[in-house]
Amino acid sequence: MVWEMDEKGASNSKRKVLVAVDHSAGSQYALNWALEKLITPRDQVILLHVRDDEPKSSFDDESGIGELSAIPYLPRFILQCWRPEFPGDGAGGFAGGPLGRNLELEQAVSSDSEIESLTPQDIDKMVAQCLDKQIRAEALTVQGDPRERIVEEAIRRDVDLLVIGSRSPMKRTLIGSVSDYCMQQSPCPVVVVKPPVQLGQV
Amino acid sequence: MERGEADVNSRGGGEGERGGVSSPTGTTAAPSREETAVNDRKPMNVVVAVDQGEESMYALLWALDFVVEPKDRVHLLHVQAPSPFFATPQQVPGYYISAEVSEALRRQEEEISRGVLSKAKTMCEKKNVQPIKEVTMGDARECIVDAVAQLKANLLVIGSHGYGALKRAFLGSVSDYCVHHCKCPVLVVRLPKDRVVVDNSEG
Repeated sequence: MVWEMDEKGASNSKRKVLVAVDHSAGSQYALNWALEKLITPRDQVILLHVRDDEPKSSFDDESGIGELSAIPYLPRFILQCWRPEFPGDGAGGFAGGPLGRNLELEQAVSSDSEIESLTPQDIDKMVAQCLDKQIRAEALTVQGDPRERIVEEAIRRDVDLLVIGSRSPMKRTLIGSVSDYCMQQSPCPVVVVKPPVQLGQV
Repeated sequence: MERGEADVNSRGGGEGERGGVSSPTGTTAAPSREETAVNDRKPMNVVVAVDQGEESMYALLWALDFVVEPKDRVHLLHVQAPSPFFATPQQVPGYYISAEVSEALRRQEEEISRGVLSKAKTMCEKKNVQPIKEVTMGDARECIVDAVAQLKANLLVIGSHGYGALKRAFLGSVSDYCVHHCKCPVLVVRLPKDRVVVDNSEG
């Protein structure tokens, strides 16, 4: 395929923009930024929310704790450094290894994810936010691994541009792994929006 | 959702008209070339990192087609490789770069910068964008992040080689570094494997 410059420019372009949203403040910031600085009423916005709420086992949750707890005999205090809210006796007990599941850990992780997923009201508010700016928007909620589902939807919907927030490194994921994955695998260009430091730990 | 649409000629490049009243039309979206959109977006301060590679040219082309508008302030940034600097005095054995060679290297870098930036500028001008050329020298990663902070950019546009995990680990990735270290949003444009960049800038 040959890419050629033509006379048409960005002022005329109608783009299909997929904005990946989740519960984090960073994601809301990304949406705000995109609506203010990037998206025009000519565009069509898809707000994609990926729900990752299968019952979490200690092996396949996104927070990285699962992978850590698969390391046998990892002292619990190391996990606590990673996630201070992780319940622990503080005395240095061992986390569950591959031979056993750590029920406490599972509970901590799954209750966390219940609190932190977007409600339909939240999503409606986001759609309303777009409509306020005269921007056509639709909301889509799917289940699964956010990384793969975002890329999958971007391919399926033949999207021109992907906008994704990026969480601060210390919370939940190592380096904003969802945005990293999307950056590398996306079929279209990606804008990664980072929240300013003032938002604190998002 | 109905949007107000206006005639092609009513909106000049470089003006961001806002605060108007939306004029609802009963027609469905006819393919009009331009619109006076009510809440059109604000102008941005954009930095585009360019180098000799095809990826950054494609990134610029894509951005000009899909993101950058004439009302935006665009900086084209080229980072030159740092000049080797050896402080070895003449008497001490060891490698040193003579003044002539160092000068020749500098001149070559300047040539490259000039070539890259003028090609990029031509592409911009085709879309009625008047870019500002910026040149800096040093490690590309850090220079881009520094420049973006100094220029107070709203958006960084950068191409990406699209390396796999192994290559990334060995060669590193400038785009990755920028995404992690720039405070502003970063647009990463990967060059699709099936695309060939045709340069019509001379035409």
